[in-house]
Amino acid sequence: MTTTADAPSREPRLHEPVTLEIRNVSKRFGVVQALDDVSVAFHAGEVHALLGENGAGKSTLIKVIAGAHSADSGELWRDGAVLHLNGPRGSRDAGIAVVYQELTLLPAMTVEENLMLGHEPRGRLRLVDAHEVRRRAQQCLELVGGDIDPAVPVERLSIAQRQLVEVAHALTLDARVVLLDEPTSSLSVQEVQHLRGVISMLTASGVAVVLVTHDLKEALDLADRVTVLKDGKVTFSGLVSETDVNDVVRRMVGRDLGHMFPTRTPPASDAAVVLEARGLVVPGFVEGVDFTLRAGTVTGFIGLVGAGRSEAARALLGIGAGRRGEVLLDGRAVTIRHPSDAARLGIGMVPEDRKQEGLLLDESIYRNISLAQLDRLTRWGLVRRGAERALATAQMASLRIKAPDSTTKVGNLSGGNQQKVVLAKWLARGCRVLILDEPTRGIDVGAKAEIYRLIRELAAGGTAVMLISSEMPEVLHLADEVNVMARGRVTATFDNNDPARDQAATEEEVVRHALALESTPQAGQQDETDS
Amino acid sequence: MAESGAAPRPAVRWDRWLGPLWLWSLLVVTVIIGFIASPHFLTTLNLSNVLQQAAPLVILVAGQTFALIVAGIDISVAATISMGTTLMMMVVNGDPSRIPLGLAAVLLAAVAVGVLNGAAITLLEVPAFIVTFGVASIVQGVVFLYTDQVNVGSPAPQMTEWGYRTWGPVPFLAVVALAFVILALVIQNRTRFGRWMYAVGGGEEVARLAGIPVKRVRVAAYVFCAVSAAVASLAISLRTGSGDPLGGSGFDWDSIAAVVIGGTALSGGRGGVAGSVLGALLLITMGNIMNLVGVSGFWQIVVQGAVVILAVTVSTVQTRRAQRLARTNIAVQKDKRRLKLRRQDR
Ligand SMILES: Nc1ncnc2c1ncn2[C@@H]1O[C@H](COP(=O)(O)OP(=O)(O)OP(=O)(O)O)[C@@H](O)[C@H]1O
Ligand SMILES: [Mg+2]
Repeated sequence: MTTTADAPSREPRLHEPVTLEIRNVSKRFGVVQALDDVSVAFHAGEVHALLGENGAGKSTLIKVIAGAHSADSGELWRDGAVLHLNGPRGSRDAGIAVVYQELTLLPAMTVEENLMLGHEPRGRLRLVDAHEVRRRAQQCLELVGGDIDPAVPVERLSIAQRQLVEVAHALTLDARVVLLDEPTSSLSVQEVQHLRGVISMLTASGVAVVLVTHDLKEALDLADRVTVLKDGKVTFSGLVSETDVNDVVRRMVGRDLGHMFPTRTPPASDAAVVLEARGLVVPGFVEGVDFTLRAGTVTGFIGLVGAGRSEAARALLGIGAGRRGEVLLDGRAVTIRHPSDAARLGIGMVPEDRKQEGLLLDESIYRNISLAQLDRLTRWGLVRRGAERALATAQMASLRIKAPDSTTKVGNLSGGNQQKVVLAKWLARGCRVLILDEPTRGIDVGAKAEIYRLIRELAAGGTAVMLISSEMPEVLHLADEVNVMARGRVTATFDNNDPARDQAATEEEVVRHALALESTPQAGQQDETDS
Repeated sequence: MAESGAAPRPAVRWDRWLGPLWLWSLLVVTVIIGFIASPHFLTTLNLSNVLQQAAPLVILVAGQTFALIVAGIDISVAATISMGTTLMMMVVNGDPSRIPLGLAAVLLAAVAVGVLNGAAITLLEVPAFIVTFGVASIVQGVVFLYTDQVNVGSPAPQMTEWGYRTWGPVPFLAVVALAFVILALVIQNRTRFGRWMYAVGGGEEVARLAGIPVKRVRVAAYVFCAVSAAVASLAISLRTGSGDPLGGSGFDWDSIAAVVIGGTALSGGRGGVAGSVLGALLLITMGNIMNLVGVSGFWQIVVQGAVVILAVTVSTVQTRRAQRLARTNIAVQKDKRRLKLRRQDR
């Protein structure tokens, strides 16, 4: 891994030797059969996509290969011999590197300390060689891009940067098999592009790359081979040329999905303005933004990561140092100093950073869901257990949360199902203004369709929805009104229900405004920064 | 990515070697106050005396820091010190030829206590506070059994001689303490074990996934802590006439207070030995000044409590401010990156 050549032309490597083979692996957690007699072979130099619904067993399989879980039965074979893994260390020594779905970095330690954790190079007197640490860390960081300083504590990095550090960590190991569990879920388009470059560099040097993702298009684009899991069983494993998106979805979900996006019933043209933001400023993030949210309307916000969309939304909740500007609710100015003020006024938000915010991992599903609305579930100061459970069960059904029942500990759910619990928590609240920040990140296709339907339903019921998403089709299909943001400003606004608009033209326009490639008249005046 | 080639940042984390800057300032301020408050404070004799007094606590906090870094705590250090001094005095009992035997006995007993602490915490999965609390009681009980609750034994003449020896203003004990602190700093900052302690304390599951032997790291941290208590007890026995079965009392809370003042979090994974040493020096210096001025011992306890709370508040505020600042920087970086992108597109 010395040179980053341009992505070599990829031809399917059909005859490459098998690097790692999994034979008849099963794993059970209590009543859940997470893996059921799974057999897969990973070949040298291939990209192998591992697909399946939330809770299908993808992460469990990866953890078994990584030595983080021990399988109940089955074997791992490498180079014609059985591998006996002794925990994570054994698998690392066997040339297996993993990027886990959950963030596995230590916030208080520096980037380079994290990168070399557990295999620090040693020099004289068996002391850690700080310069060698720095050199290797820098080398791997340069490969993943993102301008990350190796000497900075991880807690000072953005979520996307942390994700890149996780990938860099896998590169420090000089592994022969690299397993990536949803590495792109918090990356921007550019960063994903860069990651693709890293993956093709790895495969070019004969490494087998296993990729878990919920972006099926990305998966089929990148992969040479695909394995689909459903309820812990392999339903398909073969070359990418032998399958297509619809086929994969059928094997994942067990049924045809039909339409991903619900039909949009436009709101009345005179729908009342519920919330209006005027001159919103969050120093360093948002540079003076105006927008309105109307009853029964989905207002979409598109932009690159860091365009200030999340920060603008958080300012509505009273978060963000030094924020200024006016917020009007039903035409009256309101002061929001704290999220609890916002909650009282009926403004709710599903945060972007669900890996860290908003879940009690040691508590059951129903307690997590009811947490945000205990006030409405209590009588005489006591929580009504029945109502609490009923609420949770209803939400679990509508979001297809996969778990034995509502008393399951959230920490034991799959990553995607944990995200659904966060969503359920806020959806169950019933707000007048609901802010959704990347609501479908890490969520499988079936559940995505379900969430899209829910969003439109909420709007039909009169809720003003603010939808922030990096997935353009999502916004363009769901939103009635679209705001494009770039560099802390709204660079374009248009009515998505205008019948005169043509879909392709819209997409192109959005990209142009999101990259701020063209100075719009009003943005042009303030845009003297580069000359 | 043109910048990444430019002058790389140094690979040494000075904060881990030297401790937080603001504690150094506070120590300087305290010394200035002492200078103003009492004419006897800034004298060679007094300062040399302060260093000698500080030595056992400084040695001990190095070990206590390790216990806190792995997200634990060691309450049993006071009992271990009592055990160390009485054992040394009983074994030596005035005979210089038995000093090596005494040293071996004290160190072995301490290692046993450390292993007991570490094993109970990792194998039984009982919180460190409870385990070390119980072990403290067991060890203290054993000490009472073999001493019959009276002072025992006596030092060899050479021991006392070393205990009071100074080179100019520099006492031998201060040199021992310094050497021990440097050893602890090297272990903390330059060995794999040191890094692994931070990992275990910062996130046990993350450490496990990185292939770190979590349990062994924990046990080793408690063993080092017990050994530092043993070395502290030896320092004490160089300066006393007999083994006091309660000689270590107070060292438990004093050491924890010093470590916490030094910026090591009770939740683990942050801080370090350097800060704890500064914390210990601060506590001892303040005590000395208050003694010189004639403040009663009860008030000294009150002041110590206030300083602990103040120090923890300052370090929490500092961490938070650093995090906020960093977030703003990220936004600026992103902006730069995007600008670059735009230029390329033109
Ligand atoms: N530690 C655990 N204890 C109990 N059950 C678990 C544990 N880990 C996983 N499970 C269960 O095993 C099943 C498979 O989970 P897994 O994390 O492998 O899913 P996944 O395919 O990675 O899903 P996602 O796309 O949501 O990440 C789920 O039903 C989950 O609840
Ligand atoms: Mg998963």
